[in-house]
Order: sequence, then C-alpha cells, then structure tokens
Amino acid sequence: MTESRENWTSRSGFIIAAVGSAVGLGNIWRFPYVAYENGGGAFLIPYLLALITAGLPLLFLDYATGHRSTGSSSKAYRALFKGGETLGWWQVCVCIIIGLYYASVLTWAASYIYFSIGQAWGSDPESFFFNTYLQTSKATGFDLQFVSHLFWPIVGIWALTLVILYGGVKKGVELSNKIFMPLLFVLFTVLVIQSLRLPGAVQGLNAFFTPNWSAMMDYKVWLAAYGHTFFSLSVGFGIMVTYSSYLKPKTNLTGSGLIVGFANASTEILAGIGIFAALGFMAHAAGKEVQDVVSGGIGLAFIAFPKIISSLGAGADLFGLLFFSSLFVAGISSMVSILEVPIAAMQDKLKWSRKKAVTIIGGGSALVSVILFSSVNAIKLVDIVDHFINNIGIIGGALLSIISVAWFKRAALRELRDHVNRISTIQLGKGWDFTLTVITSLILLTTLSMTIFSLVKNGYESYSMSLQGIFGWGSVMFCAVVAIVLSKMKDR
Amino acid sequence: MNTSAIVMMIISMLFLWGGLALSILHLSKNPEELDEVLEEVKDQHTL
Repeated sequence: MTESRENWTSRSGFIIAAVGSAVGLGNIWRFPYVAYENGGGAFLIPYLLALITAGLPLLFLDYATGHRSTGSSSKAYRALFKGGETLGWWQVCVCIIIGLYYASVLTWAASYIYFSIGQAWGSDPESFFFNTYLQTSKATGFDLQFVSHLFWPIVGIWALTLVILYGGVKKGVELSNKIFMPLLFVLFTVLVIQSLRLPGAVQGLNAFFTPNWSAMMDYKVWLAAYGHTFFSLSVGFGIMVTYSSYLKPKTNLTGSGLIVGFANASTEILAGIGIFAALGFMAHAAGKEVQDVVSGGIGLAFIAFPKIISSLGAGADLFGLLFFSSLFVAGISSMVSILEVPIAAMQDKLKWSRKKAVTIIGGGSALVSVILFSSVNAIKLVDIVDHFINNIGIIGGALLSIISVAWFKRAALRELRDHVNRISTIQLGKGWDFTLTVITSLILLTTLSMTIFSLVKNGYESYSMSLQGIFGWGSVMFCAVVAIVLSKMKDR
Repeated sequence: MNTSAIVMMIISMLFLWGGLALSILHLSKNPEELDEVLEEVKDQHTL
C-alpha cells in the first residue's frame, strides 16, 4: 500500500520552508563579496533589475511546474514535455551531489561554533583552518587519509538532516523551518547590530554602498548580478518545483513567491550591512583600507571572520557564536531542501515509502559524504565539485528547463501561465513569457558557454587534471548518465 | 558615510524591505481561505 502524498499544513508553512531553502550560506558569504567586487552600490541596480526580470519569473516558473503536476522534478518535467523526465532526473542528481559537499561545509560551521569559545584558531586562523583543522593534503592527487575530528561532526550533521527528513513534509521539513527561520532572524539581527556598533563600521558600509558607476558599463557585472540572483533563489534545480508540489490545489502562487523572493533579497542586503561593517572594523583595527581585507566564501567565513572575532576582546565569544550559528542555521534548512528533491523523486518513481526513500537515498548519500569529506581532501573536493556542479549542473539544468518550454514548447508555457493565473492574485502576462524566452535564456546561455569555454581552455584553479577530471567533470558526467538511466526505467 | 553610499543604501532598503512588506500585506489581504473562493468567482465571471 502506498502512502498518500503529503501537503504543507498551510500556505505560510510553504513560504517559510521556501525562504529557509533560499536563504543559505550564499546569502551570508557570497552576496556581500559579489556586490563589492562588481561596483558596490552600483551593483545594486543590476541586482534589483535581475530580481524582477529573472529571479521572480524563474521562481514562478518553478512553482507553476511543480504545482501543476503535483510531482517532484522528474515527474513534473515529464508531464510538461517529451524527454522532460531526463531533465528532471538531471536536477535530482545535481541535488544529490550538492548534498554530499554541503554537509561538509555545514560541519565546518558547526565545529567553528565550538571553536569560537576561547578562539581555538589562535593568532593564525588561516593556518589553523587549512593545516590544524582540515589537515589539507599537500599531495596534488587524490588522498583519502582519514581525519578523525571531521568524522563525528559530519556524521552528526547527516543524522540531524535525516531525522528532519524522516519527519516528512509537515512534521519534519515544515516544523524544522518554523524553528530555524525565526532563530536565524534573531541571531542574524543581533549579529548585524553588534557589527554596526564596532569602530570602523561606517568605513565598511561606505565601501559596500558607494557606487562605482563605470562598473555598470561592464557586461560581466550584469552577468554577475543575474548569476547571483539565480543561485540565491534556489531556482532551476528542482527544490522549488518539489516544494510547490506539496501545496494545496488552490494556492496563491505569485503572492507567495513575491514574499519568498523579497525575503531572500532582504536577507542579502542585511548580510551585506553586517559583513561589511565587520570588515570595516577589521580594516580599522589593522590600519588598512577595506579593499585590502575584503574576501568572500570560505575565506571570509573561516579566515577573515575568525580574525575579526579575535580582535574583539570581551565580546569575541558572543560574536563568534552569533556568526557561526547563523551560518549553521541558514545552511541546515537549505540542506534539508536539497535532499528533499531526490527523496520526493524516488517516492514518485518507485512508490517507496517516505522512510524507505530517506533511508536509501539519505543514508547512501551520508555514507559517500562521510567517506569523502572526513579526509584530508575535504576542502579541495568541496571547491572543485561546487564549481563544476554549480556552474554547469545547475545552470545547464535551468537553461534546458527554460528553453524547452519557452523556445520549443510554447503551448506548455501558456498552460503554466494559465495555471498560475487561475489560482493567483497577481497575474502573469506576456512580460513573463518575454523575460523567460529572451532575457533569462540568453543570460544563462552566455554564462554557461563562457564557463565551459574557460574550464576546457584553462581548467579550474591550479588543481591537478586528474582531480578536476574525476570530481569536476566526473560529477557532471555522473548526473548525465544517471539521468538517462533513471528516465528509461519504468515507474512502479 | 558619504552621500552616494547613503542614497544607494536607502534605495536598496526601500525597494527590498518595502517590497517584502508590501508582499506580506498583499497576501494577508488575500487569506488562504479565500483562495478557493477566488477560483469560483473567476469561473462565474468567465461564464
């Protein structure tokens, strides 16, 4: 006997879970750096335009696709056009790969909550992170040497994720987000207020918001704005398709989507203020300019921020706890949403029970993730797989999903628009068709072409070709092969 | 802070946080219970 498909308890339950998915590590550590590197205050104009002309239209497309079919991405795309199931499985595989390394980064954030007390990184956070904590291999090839203190925390992260997923849509995903999202709001607001009180904070805000208008003439700034909006909203890789499939039949999709889109972007602006106020303090304390201390991503979180925290004296422990707890809470809700995609897909395809799907998909992913990422290669694998799977896996999947309907299956696009308009208060018109058909498609096509050209010509960073081949291109190939095989399998 | 930085900060806050506030207001004016009624009303108008 098969289980009946679950729904969110309410529209607000869906909104909070969708915000929990969209607001992740990237909002805190990616947006401020991307904005600063691409014109500071001037970047905000292409960013806001990108939100309106690409981010929200894509979000509505994902919602419409999932909600209309009441199925996970593989089922939803199959219902939309011939061959769509392969595309859906591609997105499912992308989520499985992301889940493997996302757990590793969450492990670091969780460990740094503990390290914050007494600032275990000492006077050299960079050496502590790479050598003492991650024990990064100096070998250029692959090295699976075990690091015991990475093992138990990553097991713990997977255990927490699986417990939430075992709870199901209502009592697991929705309930956890109802706890995590208010907690994140409180933690992050206190963190930003603390940052703004630091000496040098104004210097940081000046660096972040002062517009460099000449940057607006650079097409790369526009690509960065559209690319960031796209990554930030969790669109194009099955999460929003899956989440919207759990909505009740008559739900205001555009009204809900606007809240998700604006809540996500609002968090990014708040993060920009908090992060740059702290970087302003760092520059002030070191007698440097902000541009000399600015960084993003892993470098910002695990090297620059520990330096800032160590300079704070009496408030260091609290500031460290707030920052790394915010990272962890933002990340865990996104992690749950990433794993929900393959679990829902297997439930739909093979009629597995929730428990069976979580055990096999979640447990299998956990096993691979723990083996690969409690080793001396953790940082290299995270960096390589993240780059390839984000820039080819996600962008490629999203591009195919858009051009399949917007360029080749216009009737399906009209059906999706009609579906949204039947149940939503804010109506989609021909402007929505245009943004998907022209703006988003061309930008994603340009971005994907440039990335593939650069990777084929120059490779990625200075990693050995064997590492890039196995874990970078290998991840992409894995998604392609598994997607084709699964789409050929008959449903049960 | 310099003037241009303040202006950009205010514009982005007004647009995004204002957009969020308006979206929440819009949805609260269209509560979930009415979603099903909306469909029926639309059906009647198209008849």
